[in-house]
Order: sequence, then structure tokens, then C-alpha cells
Amino acid sequence: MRHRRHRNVILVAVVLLSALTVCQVSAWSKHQRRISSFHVTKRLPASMVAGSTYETAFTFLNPKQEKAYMRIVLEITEKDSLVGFAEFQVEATLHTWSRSSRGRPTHYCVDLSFTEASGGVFESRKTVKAKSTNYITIKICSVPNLMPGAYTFTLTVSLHYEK
Amino acid sequence: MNKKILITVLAIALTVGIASAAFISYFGQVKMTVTVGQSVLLDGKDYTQMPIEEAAAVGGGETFCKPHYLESQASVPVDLHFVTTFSPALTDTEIVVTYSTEIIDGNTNFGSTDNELVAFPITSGLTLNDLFAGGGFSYAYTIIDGGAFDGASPVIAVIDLDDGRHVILYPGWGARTGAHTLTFSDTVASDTGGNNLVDFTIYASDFAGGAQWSSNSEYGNWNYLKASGSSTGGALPLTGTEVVTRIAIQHQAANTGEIDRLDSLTFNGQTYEFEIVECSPFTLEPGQKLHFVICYSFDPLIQPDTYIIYSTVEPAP
Repeated sequence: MRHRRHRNVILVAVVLLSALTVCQVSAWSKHQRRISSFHVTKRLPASMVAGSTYETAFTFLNPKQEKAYMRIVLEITEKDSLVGFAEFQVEATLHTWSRSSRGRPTHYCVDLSFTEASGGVFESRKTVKAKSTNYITIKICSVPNLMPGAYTFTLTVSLHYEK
Repeated sequence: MNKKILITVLAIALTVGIASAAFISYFGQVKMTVTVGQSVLLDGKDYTQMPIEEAAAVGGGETFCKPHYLESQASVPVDLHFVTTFSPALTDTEIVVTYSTEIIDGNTNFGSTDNELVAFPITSGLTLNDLFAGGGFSYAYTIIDGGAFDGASPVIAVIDLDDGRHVILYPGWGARTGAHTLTFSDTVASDTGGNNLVDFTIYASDFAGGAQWSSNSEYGNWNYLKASGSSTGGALPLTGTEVVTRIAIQHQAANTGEIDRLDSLTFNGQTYEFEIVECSPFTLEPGQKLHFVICYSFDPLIQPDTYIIYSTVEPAP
């Protein structure tokens, strides 16, 4: 009898785990979902000069009715060489348009600070309001003695939610 | 016992699973590939075209100079230095390399190569009458490379006026070598070098029309209105009260290869000496084009030979 009870507990646990796996797959597919409103409004130029500053900009709408934890990662790579620490400086500004609890449109602007996690990998975190429209400009400056070459800038913005 | 462990593991897995399922995220991504070029060009060439190579057949004790220019494309100041090597190799006692530039009134100039302007901003409110008063104005220069004049008019002066017009002073020349002082009044041009000054013409122009005489990277085509005839020059075709904003000196392309060093500019009773400054590393401001000269002084005891000089510009450490 006791043996059967244990078997039932294990059975229930396995069923729950299976259900959870299905949910996780679903959640993972949501995790993979792109921000449909994500749009690059200003691309970097095809050619740049070392020691100069260039700007890129993008916009997106927070897709959920709740506060999002935004994470921006800019990864800079060069096909023939390693990007050194502090060879680039990155600054960004976030413009947010949303509605207050009374329905009035509000706008605010904040600077985003980036930390260089490793050579050429920059990260910034900020919260964005629910159902807000966000416009982010990123200024990228390189040191004058940057090795000339073909650099790839991969910009990833992810939004995370608590609920 | 084993079953308890199994249940515990399952419970932990459930907890972790439920917790991780709570975080659903969205993302956007863009990838951009950019070609990054060098921030500074040496004689218009980037690192892929370096080193710059020059050959010189020299005996012991000789010194010669070569003009170069650096051009910054960066938006921040850049410190640079040169790496100069020789083949056959020379030691530091066998050759001394100096890097020089010229400064006048805080403005840096050096050298006047073919079709290239060397300009002197004038901010004192000087008028054309002032400029030509007291015997006119003059500038002294020394030929540092390229040998003697080859027959065409080598130097012109352009006076920029604050109303957008320009006065072009165009002297003709005979052969000459070494240092000279060229003096302009409103009717006569003269040269202290003892050589023939065969022609002098003044042009006034807004470059809006007229015949095309030559071309210049800054002014575009030289469209001019000829105001005076040849041989004797002529009076200025202007009132004389126009304010001078800049005096620029330029070689004609016909005099290929000649490089002059401008030593002084005299006007309105005052002489501005060019200060030759040895400098290395160089600091280039954003967008600055800096003319300078590298001089090579060979020790008297070196083996006479043809030496190949390799020059590369690098960011200063």
C-alpha cells in the first residue's frame, strides 16, 4: 500500500514535470520572440574612421502592460583580431514616452551608462515603463589608434518581466 | 531512502522549473558591419600604403629635407610619432633625423608644394591701402627642395577680402635659386634674389565669371578679370578700402617639384618671422592638416651610398 502511494507521488511528479516541460518550451518560444516594434532608425555608416564618434539609434514599444527590465548588449568584434579593452567608448540616451495614471502623455530622457564586461562587449541595464515607446541613441567612439579593419557591431536589446 | 532522494530531486526540479518559467522575455537584435579606417593619413596615404619610401644618394656630411603632411580624420586630438628606418641600416650616430614645422601667429604652416596654399589669416582690420602703403608687402622664402625654377611663374599671392572678392598678384619670374624676398606694391613687384622679374599682373576676381586661368583645390577654378597689362603691372582695380582677411601664397603646378620654406611675411611695417619648431610626437587636432619637414643629417663618415628611407606614422605610445 505504502509502496503504491510512493509510486503515485512519483507519477504525479513526473506528470507535473512533463507539463512544466511543455510550458517551458512554450515560454522558451516566447523568450525567442522578437520585439515586433523593434526598429533601427539610424544605422552606423558603412565606413568609419578611428578616433571619431558615430551614432546609431533604434526604437521599440514595450509589448506588455508591465514594467520591463531592459538589458542592452553591444558586442563589437573584428574578424582578424581581438578587440581590446577600452578601445571603444559607448554612451546612450533613452527617451521614453508613456502615459501617466491619469492618462496624460509623459516624456522623459535619461542617460544610459555602459560597462565593458570584456574587450568590446558593453552592457547597460535600465527599467522601461509599461506600454511605453522608447527611443535609444547610442554613440560609439573608438580610440584613434584602433586597428583598421572590418568590425561587426551586434546590438541586442532584451526585455525581462517579473510576472 | 533512494525514493526520498528521488522525490527531493523532483521537488527541486519543479521549483526551479516554475521559477524559470516566470521570466518570459522579448528581444530585438541588429548586426552592422563597418569598415574602420585609419584616423590619420600621411601624405594622403593610410597604413595599407605605408611605409612611405624615399631613395637618396648621399655622401658623408649631407643634409636634406623632405616635406610631408599629416591629415587627421578623427574627431578627437591624436598624438603621433614617426618610425623612420634606413637601408642600408644607419646607427643614431650616423644619422640625425629631425621633424619640424613652422608657426606664425599661432597658425601652423610649412612648405608650399605645387598648387597648395599656405595661408596667413589677418584679423587686424588691415585694408588694401594699408597693405600696399610704405613700399607694399613682402614675403621671404627659401627653396629647400626641388631645385631651380623651371620657367613658369612659381609663386602667386592671393589676398582675400572681407567682401568675398580676391586680389591675385601674379609675378613672372626668371631662373632663381636659394632665398628670396618678393615685394609687391600696387604697381610694381620686385625680387631681391637678383634674378629677372619679367612680368607682374594684378587680377581682381569674385570668381563668378571671366576666363579660367588655373585651378586650385580651395578656390575652385581661377576665373579672373584681368585688370592690368603685362610688363609694368597696373593700379589696383579696387578702391583700396577693402579689408584684408587673409594672404595666401601658392605655387603653380608648372614648377613641379619645388618646395619652399616661407621665412617671413612683412606688411604694414611689421615683420612676422616664422618660428621653426622641432616636434615629435605631433599632436593633431580634429580635421587638422599639418605640413612639416623631415630633415636627415648624415654623419661625414658614413659610406656614400643610395639610402632607402622608410617612414611610417604611428599613434604615440
